[in-house]
Amino acid sequence: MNEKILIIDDAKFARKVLKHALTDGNYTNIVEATTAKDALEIFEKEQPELTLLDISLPDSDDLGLLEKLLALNPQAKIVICSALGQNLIIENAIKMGAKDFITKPFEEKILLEIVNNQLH
Amino acid sequence: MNKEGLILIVDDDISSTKILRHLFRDIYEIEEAVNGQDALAIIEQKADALSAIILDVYMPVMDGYTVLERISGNEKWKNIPVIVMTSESAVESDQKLFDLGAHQIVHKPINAGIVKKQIHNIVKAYEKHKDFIQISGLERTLIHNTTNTFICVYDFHKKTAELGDNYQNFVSAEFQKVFAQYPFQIENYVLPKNLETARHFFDVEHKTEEYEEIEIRLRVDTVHYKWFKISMLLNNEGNGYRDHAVILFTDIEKEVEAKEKLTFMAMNDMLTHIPNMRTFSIHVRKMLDENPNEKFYMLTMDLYQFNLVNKLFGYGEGDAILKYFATKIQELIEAYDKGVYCRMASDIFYACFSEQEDLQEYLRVLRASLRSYPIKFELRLCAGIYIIEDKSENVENMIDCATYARNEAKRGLLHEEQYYDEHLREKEYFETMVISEMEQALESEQFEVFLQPQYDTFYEKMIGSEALIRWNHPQKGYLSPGIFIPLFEQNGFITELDYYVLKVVCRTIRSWSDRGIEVLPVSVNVSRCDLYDSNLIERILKTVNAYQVPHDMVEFEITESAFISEKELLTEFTVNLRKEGFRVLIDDFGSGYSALNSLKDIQVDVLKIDIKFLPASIKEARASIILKSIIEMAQKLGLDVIAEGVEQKEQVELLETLCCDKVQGFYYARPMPIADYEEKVQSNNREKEHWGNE
Repeated sequence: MNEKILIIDDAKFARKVLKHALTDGNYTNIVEATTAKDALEIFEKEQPELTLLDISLPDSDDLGLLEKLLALNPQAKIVICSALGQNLIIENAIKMGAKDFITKPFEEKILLEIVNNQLH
Repeated sequence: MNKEGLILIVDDDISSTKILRHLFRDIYEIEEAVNGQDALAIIEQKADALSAIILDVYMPVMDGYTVLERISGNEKWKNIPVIVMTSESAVESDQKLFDLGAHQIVHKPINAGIVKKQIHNIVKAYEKHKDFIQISGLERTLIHNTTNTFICVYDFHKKTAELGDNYQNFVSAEFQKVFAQYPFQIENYVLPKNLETARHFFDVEHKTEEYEEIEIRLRVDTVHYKWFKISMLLNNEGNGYRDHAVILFTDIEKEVEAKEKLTFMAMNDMLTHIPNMRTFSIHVRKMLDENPNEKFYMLTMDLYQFNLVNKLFGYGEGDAILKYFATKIQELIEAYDKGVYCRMASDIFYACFSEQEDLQEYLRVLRASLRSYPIKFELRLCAGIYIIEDKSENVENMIDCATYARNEAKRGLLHEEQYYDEHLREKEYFETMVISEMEQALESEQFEVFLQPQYDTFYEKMIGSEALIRWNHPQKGYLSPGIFIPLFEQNGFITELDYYVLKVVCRTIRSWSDRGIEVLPVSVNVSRCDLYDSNLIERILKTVNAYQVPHDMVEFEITESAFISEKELLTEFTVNLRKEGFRVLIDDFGSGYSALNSLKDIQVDVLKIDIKFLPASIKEARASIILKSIIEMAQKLGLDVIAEGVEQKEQVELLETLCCDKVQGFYYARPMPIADYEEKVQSNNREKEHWGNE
């Protein structure tokens, strides 16, 4: 499947795991960003069909990035991946416009279900 | 005679037919037709019984080509082998015949012997095939409806593939279409990762193995892929020519999932999904063996007082924190060239990575992550670090050293991190020795009871003593109680020691009575651990009474902090003791937080106040006032006060002004062997007698 998916996570390992899971679901068109700054540039340039965004800090910094991405494209499909799974954080992200949320560590099957849901 | 089958000979040349008839007279039943039309009529009638058709190409009314076409085009007839006889020997015409569905081509003039053999082989193969088709028709249905398998049969001649009826349970209709039309060109249906393997497998024309199988993922609908096991059986009957292939597609998604899950569970921690201890040990050993010249850090980590998180916020939150912590460790170490990590159990994690990595940075990032976790609780990382140089060591030993260091870190005030160095190694070694030798030491009486006298400064006389334990180690000399008492309190051995002291004290008091030495009370220390012995009072009574010691000559001292932590047990204990006529002393009074509360609820006889914590001179007014108040309060409550740790003359003077006249301390006398104490008692009395004589 050719949908372009953007992965935003500063940890190399996390990006590797996501890529592996996506490839198993036949999503092979993947781009990566490692910092917030890169993320905005790449998002604008590549216009991915789906974005997987990591939130590692609970303060507004990372949700701030979500806000900026949505400002660039209000229709953007953004799914949050995070090691922080508190209800409050999930709520805030969804309210702000994220389409779905997955907590690390995640199961490949679940990630693929979420991605499939968003793209089909 | 049983014939091996029925053959239809279609030829307008009667003499040719005669020859063939003669050739096969004993082997097969023969039917004849002189033209295509007649032939078709016979086939219509006898399709099921036919084993083969021998067909001449040039015939009137309907030629061989047309007949061939008609046969191939008919579902029921297309499998019947057709052997075409032709006088032409051009490649193009042969090719055309094969394209039209001929099984075999024989050129006239025919060689009887060879043709006989050829027919024999073809018929045999077909019979087998027929059986297969007949049987498998039924079995196929059975298989389709009860297993995860659908069957595909590929015909090498017609180059078509026929999928079993229930394929829709597994793959889409498009798949069937594609597969049937262009067998094995299923690029769109195979997961790209598996494409190479699939192509190689489905290259049927070049296959050499009769049986082969692969496991790949096939697309089952627009987005989902499933694991299939595909087995291929080539039917190479008769002179090695390919007849058909049977391909089984089995849905093994569940098996693969189960196997992967099992493997994952064996290697990883279930909550955090990071490697478990077993995997860690194996990988550490491998990493060390592969890098003999590099040094590595071995870390053990946990979160200070993590159990409180579970109590205060629930196990759900506790689990979430552990998953978070594990994820951070994983992301950090996976970025290193060489590093391994695991969750050992609860909140304990291990890590091992190259010394080339920045350990301080690692700790800094980890601590920052913990700080930023949204919870009203300080998540404090405690780490023990051992630097691995000697690779031949056991991995368990390395972990032990790092663990020991971590525990040591917790004893300090900051509870942060500790390296396992030489000093620590000696300490650990010493502690191990102490613990391994303690029982033997008790038995061989290496433990000695010392007595420290207590004085009444007003009457200038000894009023009693406190029994203290000393360890006279045969090789190391006297060991400080400060080292072994805490260890014994941890492992419970202290109780045995306390009973021993009591026994020695009782025995000594008995001997004083017997020898006419003045008997003064001796106080014995009771540890918090002792309180958990349900026979405590009984054992005490037993020992005291065995030596017939008056109950007012043995006193029991308990430290104030025990009054807070073991309040109920202590209350019961002190009440029972005093009922039996023993006096109870609170040791280190005032050093804890609940001094007043303790007094309110617990019945004691004596307060022992450690002067170390109080001023050295009268000039420190505030402290003096407090001390004075305590002493007054105690006296008003009917309690005695003993000032402990008196080491300097200034303290003596201070105490005098405060009307505290009972003292214990180095200024007066150090703890001493019983024999020395006995001497002191006796000389004390002699002095008194001496005074009396004046």
